[in-house]
Amino acid sequence: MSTLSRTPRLLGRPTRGRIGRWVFNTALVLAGVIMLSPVAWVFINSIEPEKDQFVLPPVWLPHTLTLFSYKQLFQQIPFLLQLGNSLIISAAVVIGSTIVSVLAAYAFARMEFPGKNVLFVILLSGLMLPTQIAAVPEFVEVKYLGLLNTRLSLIIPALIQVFGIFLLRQHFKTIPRELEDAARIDGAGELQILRRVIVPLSWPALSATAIITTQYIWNDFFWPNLYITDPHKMVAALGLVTLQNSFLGGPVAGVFAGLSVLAIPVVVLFVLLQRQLMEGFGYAGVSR
Amino acid sequence: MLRRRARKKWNPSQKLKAYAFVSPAAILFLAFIAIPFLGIFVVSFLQWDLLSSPHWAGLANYKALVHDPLLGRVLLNSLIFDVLTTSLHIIIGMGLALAVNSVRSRIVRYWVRTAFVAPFLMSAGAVAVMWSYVLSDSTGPLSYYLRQIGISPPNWLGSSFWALPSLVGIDVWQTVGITFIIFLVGLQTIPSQLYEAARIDGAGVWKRFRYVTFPMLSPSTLVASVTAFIGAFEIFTWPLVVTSGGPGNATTTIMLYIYEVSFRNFELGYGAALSLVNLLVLVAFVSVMLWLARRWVHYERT
Repeated sequence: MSTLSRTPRLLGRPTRGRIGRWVFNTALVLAGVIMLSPVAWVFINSIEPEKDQFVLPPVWLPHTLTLFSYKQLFQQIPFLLQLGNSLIISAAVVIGSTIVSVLAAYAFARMEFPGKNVLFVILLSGLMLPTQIAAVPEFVEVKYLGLLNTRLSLIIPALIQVFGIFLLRQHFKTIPRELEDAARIDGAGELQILRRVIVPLSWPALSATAIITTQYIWNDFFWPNLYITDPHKMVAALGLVTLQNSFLGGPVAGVFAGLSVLAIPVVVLFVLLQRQLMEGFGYAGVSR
Repeated sequence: MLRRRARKKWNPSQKLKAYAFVSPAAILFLAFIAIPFLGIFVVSFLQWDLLSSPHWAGLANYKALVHDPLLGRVLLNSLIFDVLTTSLHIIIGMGLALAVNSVRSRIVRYWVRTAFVAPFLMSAGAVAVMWSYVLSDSTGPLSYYLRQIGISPPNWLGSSFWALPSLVGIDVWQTVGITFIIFLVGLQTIPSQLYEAARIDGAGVWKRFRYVTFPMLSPSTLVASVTAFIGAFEIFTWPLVVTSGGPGNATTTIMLYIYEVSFRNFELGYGAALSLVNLLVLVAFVSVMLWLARRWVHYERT
């Protein structure tokens, strides 16, 4: 997969002229600057002394830097704990749902059993519909399972990622059967074939599944907001919304610090891992 | 001989093994997707506040739907939000993919991809908080800079006309990156011979776009619009965090309405009836989209 390699030029001819190209490039770069400027504004505000914060025009180049906003944040809410919750929940869902998906996808791609096609079609119906729509019964269920206000309420229901099953099944079907037969002759069981043959040949599909799932869980606000009211069990973004609400939406130094903690690593991560992430999203996008 | 018998003894039959592989997914699907969706019907016939035990309500919740003055409004809000968001996704996503694809400088391409896709990885709750400050009438930098260049900005979140489009802006800001990637990948799949042939035939920039790029991208367009449409119809975080559905009910979407009815007023039965409406409307719209798509989506036959 070379998602990032270039195809022939679609706009204009190469002889368009140097000035035209220069203007075009500048416009694109500027569009990017405008796109990320809200993040930059939040970050710069978070490291400024109080007198430079939230003023208009914004002070883009502060004379002195301070971490007092961050100190405030950690005094106001258990933010480190919440950040930990976000990471633990994302990691648990990605690992757990990938195992569930790999097993099911292998069975759908390679094994024969009564009811296989019916089951697969039923599963696929869950591909298009956001589970949010069924929030009322889902809430009742989670309440009766005793999971309200626990991190598990955000992990267990998320272990089923129909999209991952679908994506992995499509990929497993492209792996030549001869490889498995060879392993089978050597006495390998299904689980060993899965681990030794199928998984090592499926890294693009697996990483795409993992990237999509991580994004989905990390981005989700609906379920944490519905299930969690205890600040110690909240994910970080929910903690920030709660903090902002407790100040009636006014600008709060701590909130800006928290936003920076959530946003800046993501931008850095994207710069460093752009190739992998773009390929992951792209892979998933085309396979739908 | 001996070995084979031993293996047969230890290995359960293929069928059982297959069920063992499928069962974690099947059980989770049943518990957290199938039962909740079927549960919508059941709960919609109940009167239930979660604190006391549920009562059978018959068709009362469905009768209430007909007389609900807000239902039409919230569906319309969701639909306006959705159509604006989806159109902007396609226009910006496709335009940007074409632009980036025609740029030679690696640095420029890298920068544009970073700037437009990184927001997609941020947490929606954090994005909502950030934009509520950026769009604030008194302390927000956006209105300030617009005034500086001589444009008098509306009160973005306080105006009943501009609040919904503002939320569209936030949504496009965060999620247009995924559409951009879908188109970028779609462009890779167009064979370059088609462009050469078009050029030999004397086709200009516009004609090459109209008769080669656009039809060849139509599968990507379908994927991107269906994905964007479904996501945008169920929009919840922006109206909840940024505007609380206001001013008035200008930004109350169907999902926010269901949330308020069910989890603030604790009328679970009516919330479920509304969920059913939500489900049917969404399925109807997506079916129409897919039906229309059969006419104009071009699949290359190889």
